[in-house]
Amino acid sequence: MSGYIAFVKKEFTENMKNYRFLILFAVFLIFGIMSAFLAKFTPEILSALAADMEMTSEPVALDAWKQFYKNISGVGFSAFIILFGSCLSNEYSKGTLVLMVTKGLSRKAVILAKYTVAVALMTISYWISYAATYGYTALLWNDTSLAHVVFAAVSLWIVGFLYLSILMIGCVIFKQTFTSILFTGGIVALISLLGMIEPIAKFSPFILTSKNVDLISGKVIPAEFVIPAFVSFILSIFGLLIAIRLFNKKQL
Amino acid sequence: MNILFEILPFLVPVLLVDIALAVAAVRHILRHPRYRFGNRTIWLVIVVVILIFGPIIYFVFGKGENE
Repeated sequence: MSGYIAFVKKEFTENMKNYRFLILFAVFLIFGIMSAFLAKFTPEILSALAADMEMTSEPVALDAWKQFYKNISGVGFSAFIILFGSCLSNEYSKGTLVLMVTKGLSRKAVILAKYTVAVALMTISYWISYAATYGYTALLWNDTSLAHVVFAAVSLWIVGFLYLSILMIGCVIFKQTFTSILFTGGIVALISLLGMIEPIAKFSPFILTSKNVDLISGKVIPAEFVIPAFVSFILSIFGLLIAIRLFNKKQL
Repeated sequence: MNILFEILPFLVPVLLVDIALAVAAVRHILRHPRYRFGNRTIWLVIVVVILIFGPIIYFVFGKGENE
């Protein structure tokens, strides 16, 4: 346990020192602001530049959230996976883990600490981004008709746990950063493909990333999200256990 | 021109983030002489000229491995 805490501290310091946290913070904050900002002002900017263009509809607060979910579930999480893809491969190539493991740090603690720090950073940057979008949306539109805004955000956040857990498996299996990122991308693509098959679509975590906007606009009810969230949660724990098992057998 | 002044206040936080990133990147470049590729001048120009993405590109791809 003390090994775990020490390793978490080491990971935090590392992420601060190599600017990962700064980059993620900046990317997510800017996405949060830009989601609302671009949704509101793109029509105005366009009509100022090209006076003869007719805008078909006035932007609404829902557009801001559409942008938010598109950006975060796409570029935001990709940035996260790319930055954290090197979390174990660097240690493999430098051989820094060998010393600590032979000195008595349990292998389980290594994986759990890495996962904890990744999840903590993801949580902080994700909710900062959410707060930025929420604040700007409230500022730019006086629209309070949207329902389940927080719940929709929580569901995407839960998927973040799953992605990171898959990334941990990838990092444990492959020695190179690129292959572990590719592995994560492949599994995520597989999950979204499985999400399209009719009988199991209802349970797939894919719903959590694809139907957030429908939830806010009221097209689907929150109850539909409960089972996928649960499945996603179970899969994350399962993935983490697999990562630990594989890491126990791994030659450092 | 009116619309520019109307939307400018909303962009102040973005500008602050960009300045913070650029300052951090410039400091890092000046303190570390080795890069994965390119040289000091190239990276300084990239970091200052390309808003937001310049510093990110530097930290992800250009920063040397050995601190």
